Amino acid sequence: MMCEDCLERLSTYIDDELAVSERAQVESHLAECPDCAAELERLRELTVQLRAEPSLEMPAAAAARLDDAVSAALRERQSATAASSGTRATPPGWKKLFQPAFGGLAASMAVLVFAVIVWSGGGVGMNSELLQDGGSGAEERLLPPDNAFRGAKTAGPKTEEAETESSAESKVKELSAPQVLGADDGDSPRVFARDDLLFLSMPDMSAVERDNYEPIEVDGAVDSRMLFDEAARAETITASAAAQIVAGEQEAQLLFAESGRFEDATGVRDAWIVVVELNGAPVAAALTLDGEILYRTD
Amino acid sequence: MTVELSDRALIDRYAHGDGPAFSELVRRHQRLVYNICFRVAGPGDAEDLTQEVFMRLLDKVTQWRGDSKFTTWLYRLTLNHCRDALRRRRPDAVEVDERLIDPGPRPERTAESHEIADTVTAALMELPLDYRAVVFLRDIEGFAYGEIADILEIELGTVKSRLARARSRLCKMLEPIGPASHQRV
Repeated sequence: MMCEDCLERLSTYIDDELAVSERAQVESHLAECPDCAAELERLRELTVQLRAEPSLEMPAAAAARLDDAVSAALRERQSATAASSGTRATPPGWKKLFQPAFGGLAASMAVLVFAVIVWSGGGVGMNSELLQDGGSGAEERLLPPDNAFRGAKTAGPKTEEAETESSAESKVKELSAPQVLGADDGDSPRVFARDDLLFLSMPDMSAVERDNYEPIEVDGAVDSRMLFDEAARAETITASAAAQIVAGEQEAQLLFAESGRFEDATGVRDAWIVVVELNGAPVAAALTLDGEILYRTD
Repeated sequence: MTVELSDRALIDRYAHGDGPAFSELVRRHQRLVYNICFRVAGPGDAEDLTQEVFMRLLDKVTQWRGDSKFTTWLYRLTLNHCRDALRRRRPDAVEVDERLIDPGPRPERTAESHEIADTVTAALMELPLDYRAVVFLRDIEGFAYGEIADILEIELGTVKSRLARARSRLCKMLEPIGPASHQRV
């Protein structure tokens, strides 16, 4: 081994990160070359010197300024959110396609998954009277199991839903009968698409306050200018980009989008919930805000 | 009994409107962020940059997905912010040309480094930021090569080469107080 090769490897050598064969070559050269051995010693001295550098405490005055600045920023955000929504703090960085219509969601009930409009087994999600409950264990019941969204078979509306609709509020009555997109086995979350809206039914959803949203029209057009790979690379994607990622190379129509929180066995994440029409069939999916698909129904 | 909430729990609370949870997160990690800013961007900017990082974190923190440790993610966010800030001020102090093998002659000391009493910190400040970052992560913070590659989002080979060149430069800069100088005395 030449000195130049040895010197290039000394840094990695002192960290014990060289391959065994390279290590042997370096050691063999060091035994014969006092210049390289001296350089090794200098490197060792340097790393000892650097490791002795202390961890620094932020000066008290600067720490106090930081605390003040953070508090002021938090107050400002809280005020801005209260002014715009009147009720519930919007999670930072979220795009809202829905506005709260009823009471706020208490911080202690911070278990909102991705359901926005709920078509519950016992009633229509828009009816707040049907949804009052504060029972414990809501979080567990809210978590979609691994088979959430499973199956994308389209089925007809159930009789029970038709009955519910007859007693629903006028706004709901205007909507057409829902399509069942998800599995309907009574245990899994169910997804309904109706007109331009998505309805998600969780088993035993009554434990959560879930009626504080009112839908706003979603622009159905997918931004065709954003290519699939561009969308997938974006740090924080738009709803259109999320739809494009689900669609891949295919043409698609965005039927629904909402930001929310998605939870599975790996944890809770901010997510886009989108429904796109692909080849004439609706596909629902959940994606992280940077474009990773967490669930899709097809 | 006091139960300390995890970073994940604090972030979830903040995501649902709990401001004090974010303040707790700031208190918990301000030392880490300040140290990164101090060592990588320099003592003169460390306080301002620390504040900027946490202001940025107000929007970004909910994007942490938990697939790496929160502190790893925070190192990356802070280093990227330092890099952006320094690039705006002194573009030549950030980029390194990976093709250059020879670290070159010992650079002239900058005005800023003259004001820094600590010799090691002053020498570090004369390195390009990309070199400084690997030295900071490896020799001061003690991260493994793989972790450094993860934080900086660079190849393992790049970690090795940057570290080798950065150390070589530092050895030259610190020579008067190193063992070589002792031999000459």
